[in-house]
Amino acid sequence: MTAHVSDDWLVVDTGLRPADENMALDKALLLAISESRTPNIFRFLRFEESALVGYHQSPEQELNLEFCREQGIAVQRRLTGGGALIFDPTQIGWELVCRRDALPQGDMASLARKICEAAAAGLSLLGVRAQFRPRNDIEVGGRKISGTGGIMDGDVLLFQGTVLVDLDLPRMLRILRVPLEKLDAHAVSSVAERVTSLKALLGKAPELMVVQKALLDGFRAQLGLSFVRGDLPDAVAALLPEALAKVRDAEWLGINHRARDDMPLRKATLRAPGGTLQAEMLWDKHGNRVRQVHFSGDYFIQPQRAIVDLEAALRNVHLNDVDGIIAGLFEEQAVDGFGLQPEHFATVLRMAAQDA
Amino acid sequence: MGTVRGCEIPEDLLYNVDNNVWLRKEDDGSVTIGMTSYACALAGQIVSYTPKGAGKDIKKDKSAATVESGKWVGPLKSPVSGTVLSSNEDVAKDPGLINKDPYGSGWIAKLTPADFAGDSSELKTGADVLVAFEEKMTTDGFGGC
Repeated sequence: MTAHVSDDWLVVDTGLRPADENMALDKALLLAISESRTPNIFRFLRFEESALVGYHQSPEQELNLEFCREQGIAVQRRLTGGGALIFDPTQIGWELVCRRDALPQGDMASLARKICEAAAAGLSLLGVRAQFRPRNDIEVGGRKISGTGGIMDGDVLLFQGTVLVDLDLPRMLRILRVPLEKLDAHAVSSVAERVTSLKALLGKAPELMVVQKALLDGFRAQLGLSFVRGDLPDAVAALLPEALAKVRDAEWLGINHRARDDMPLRKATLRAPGGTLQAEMLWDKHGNRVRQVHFSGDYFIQPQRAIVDLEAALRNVHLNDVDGIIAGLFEEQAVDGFGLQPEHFATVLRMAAQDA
Repeated sequence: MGTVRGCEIPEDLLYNVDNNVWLRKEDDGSVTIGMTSYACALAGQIVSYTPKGAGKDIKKDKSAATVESGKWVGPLKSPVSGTVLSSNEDVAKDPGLINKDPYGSGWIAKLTPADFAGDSSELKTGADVLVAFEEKMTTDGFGGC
């Protein structure tokens, strides 16, 4: 059976599950779709408390594993790209698992953008102004509310995202490694300027079914998808035990093992005509990449959101590429740093990188 | 050097067009494989590379390495069965090399093929491959590199 744009997608809600079951279901769904054993699937998923790393990440570098062990927080590896994130039962995951020809043509960046714009349109129906932000975040007023990532395997793909319905920020900062030297009240308020939740925006957390409906409406309107709700197909359930054994194997979590010391926290301060600029960053010293950066200091910049957009654009970027990215964003947003220029941001990153 | 819609497609290499990968037979009997410039254009800037380790047996059309671009993960499927001889240390340090030089320093893996004569008979080369990529790009709705 070959699915086409006009075919109904099967909407499956697999409910609250441990992280390993959700990752195994992703594997089983991809296999079932590649073997044409199911129609295209739109899955809603929820997690018992978990920390998930992206496919190419190392849990040792991205997570505070001791805290996870103490607190009984499951650690798993996603099939998809992007950065580490936390899930707890308040959050909603959504994902499309389908044949490539079920979605608009184009390169992978444009496809991700179209999917994110559909999800953002859905979330906006809840009364927030959600929009796509490169690369592959959905944000409201500069604050991230959903992260996404995908896997493309031949002519099948899985693209997934989160919705932060509610968020325990201090707990998140104890689970995920962030580019902040001190995890104090100032750090929490600084991160709160960069991440938000539906509850924080709307005053109360919407019901799960309301969020699901909004997301589906967004995908209907933006991508012309049609949906029918149903149960997890037997063909997928039959593949689950084998997939579960794979993700429970230590080899799966051990892919891309790298030492925590190979991604140190680096810090530098630059006194520039426009003020003082500080960069704290998680630095991939072997790959010469900025993995995550947090800017702070004493300066004025317009628009204010330029700082968080810069931080988003500079995630997992080679040091040789930072100049172009920073200059591009300054031009795109007509940024006025009141004396603070693009080269000052690039310089402070280089200073931090050299702090061996 | 052949070109299809602005994408360089060297005609002296062997290709699995569906999987968007190239293969070069080396004088010592080994093979080198990599991503085509078309695959690079679809993927965008590659930021991560995880190869299968030396000594690992890879079946034809199964993953020899995984790459990531713009939060998308994708396997590079080996056009032939074989055993991994080596992965690319330079690409491990700078995955962007794949985009910069996909047929040269951005190679993905070197393998000792298990049945080169059998597996390679299905691969395309020369003028045929340019026609095949043109057809693929039409099917994919691809504008050009």
